[in-house]
Amino acid sequence: MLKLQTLSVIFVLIIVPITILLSYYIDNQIDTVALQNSYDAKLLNATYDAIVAFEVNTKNNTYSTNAESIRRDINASINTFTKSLANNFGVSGTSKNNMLTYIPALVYTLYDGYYIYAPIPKTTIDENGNPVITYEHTLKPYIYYTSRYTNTAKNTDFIVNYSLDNYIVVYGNINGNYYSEAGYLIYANKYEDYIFQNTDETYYNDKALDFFKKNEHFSNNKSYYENATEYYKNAKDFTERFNNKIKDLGQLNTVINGETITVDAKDIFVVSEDNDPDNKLSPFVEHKSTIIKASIESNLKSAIASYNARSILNDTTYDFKMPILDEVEWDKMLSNVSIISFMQGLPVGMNTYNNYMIVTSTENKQCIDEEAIYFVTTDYAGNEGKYYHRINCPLLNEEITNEPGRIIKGYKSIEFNGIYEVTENSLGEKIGKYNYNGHTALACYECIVESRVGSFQYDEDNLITFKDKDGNELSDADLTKFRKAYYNALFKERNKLSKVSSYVNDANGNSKF
Amino acid sequence: MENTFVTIIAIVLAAVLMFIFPMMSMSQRTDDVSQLAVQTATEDFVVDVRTSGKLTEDRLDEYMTVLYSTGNSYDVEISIDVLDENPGKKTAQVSSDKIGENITYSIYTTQIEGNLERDGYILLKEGDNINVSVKNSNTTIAQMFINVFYSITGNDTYAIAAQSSGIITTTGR
Repeated sequence: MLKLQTLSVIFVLIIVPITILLSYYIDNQIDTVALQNSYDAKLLNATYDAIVAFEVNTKNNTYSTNAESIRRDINASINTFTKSLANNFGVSGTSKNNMLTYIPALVYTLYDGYYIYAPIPKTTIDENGNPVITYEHTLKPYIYYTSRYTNTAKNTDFIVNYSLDNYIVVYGNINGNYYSEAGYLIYANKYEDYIFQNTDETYYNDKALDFFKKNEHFSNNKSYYENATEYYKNAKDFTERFNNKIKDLGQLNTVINGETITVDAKDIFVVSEDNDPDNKLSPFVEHKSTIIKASIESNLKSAIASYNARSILNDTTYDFKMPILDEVEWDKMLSNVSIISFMQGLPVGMNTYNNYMIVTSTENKQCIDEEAIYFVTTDYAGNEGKYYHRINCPLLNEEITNEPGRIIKGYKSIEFNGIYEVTENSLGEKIGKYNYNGHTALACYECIVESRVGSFQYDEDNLITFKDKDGNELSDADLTKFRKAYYNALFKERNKLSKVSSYVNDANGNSKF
Repeated sequence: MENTFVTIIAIVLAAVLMFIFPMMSMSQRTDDVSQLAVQTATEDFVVDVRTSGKLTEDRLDEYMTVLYSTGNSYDVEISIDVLDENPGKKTAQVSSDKIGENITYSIYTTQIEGNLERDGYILLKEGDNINVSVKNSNTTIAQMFINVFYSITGNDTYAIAAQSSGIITTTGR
């Protein structure tokens, strides 16, 4: 009996401490995970606040595409990020800047390049006259999505600046001649049937023309038609001339991630049915994506290495690392303006926090998102229908079916969301009002408010396709009508987009291909 | 007589100390580990939906698989607050300190499941909200032990629960 009691006591003496320790460890792990989850949410919220600040500032800034002006907008967005992060962490006042200690980099990927906000070394002299190195977060110069191509045998050495869509800037020597030109690469043949023609009665009759001439919104002094057709003509012309100059260059050397690789000029740059720059799977787009990813990765690695230098200086032991972004995340970043925020080295329970968040903008003036163009029908008097839609919304089709005379027009989604303006009335009171650029239509509940209409569908020629509200294929005539509405709106918006790098186009036509 | 009584007490004590106490303790730790897994999975799921603007059937299945891998069954409640900006747009004038009068309306678990069954995904837009809460619906071993000593009745009879919510940061495609 005594033996059993002794064994019990020994058993309890062994088990109880183990259980208590295990319990403590697991509780601690749970707290750590909970804290880590809350940090994830805080980082995501701060990044979202930053992108909203960027969207609001650029939307209300007429000069937001100007390089210096956008730096101000980005600095304001970074300020919002820091404040939001500090507030989320319950840090306020001057100590909020301490949060930056854990931010090795913030990346703003824009239309044709990106900004990195990261610590850089700064040398000051202390009271004894000794140099002291400190690190200060700074918005580094704008980096274009760019690559250099050389073929010494053919006296060729030129640079291509890429963008998130098919707009490129090319400058340098090709076959010994200097060229400098910017433009859109398109496979024009597939759009031939969908460009406004003078004989197109639906779009081009006297009444409609008169209305559009008088009532264009943000038309840059060009009509809806002119913008769309100008894009098509210029892009077709640019593509043909560029292709003619480049098709016989053969193998070109370019450097990606520090390694020289060889690409065939014809395979990458010459546009054809199999290399359609509007198709995300084309060799041109794949090559462009590789260039952009390599550029961002190498510059980020360098920024984070700088952060490691800081940690050595501060005698911390955390080894800051550049995380590996997966393909889905890259796709997000290459689809529109995005912010990637990194947070590393923050103590979290028994571990150290290390994570990043990517938030993609949906509404900005920097980039044309193919799916963020909304369509509204108008009669010849210019009265808009009740709702604006996405192009693949069955209710848009229904509006046209019910009243075949109506015209479909598309605008960037940002135009329907309005700009907040404050004016004074006669009594000196401030009155706030949204300016919707003259649009009276409201968001369609089917496709915009509830997003019940799915993503765009494309056929084997990579042309957008539609179905009616019963899920049936449209007739050829209807399909052409909707494609015409969609592509002309897309082309118009692309033509209106201000591009800083377009300065390379010489007004006198010199150095054109 | 006295010896028999002491022996019985000793056996009971030994049983409690050597069997019930470790079992209770280990089952509670099991619940803790489940709690850890459920909390992490829920947070990951919500962050994924918030940053992609898309709730897919596959992603929901993956989330449910993680939950069920803990050996318990769960009640998962998902609600989406859909932002409707139209009422704000109908207001011609607002005072300068107001920024629109937007409203939201909610869709709940059964509607969401219905939409997912029909289309395979639900697209969300920037400004919508997602809220996920999960709690175990079975009785865990730790709960059974606790119920021996005292019973809890009512809705809060769960041992494992997690909740996460947030605003959708990008319009889904």
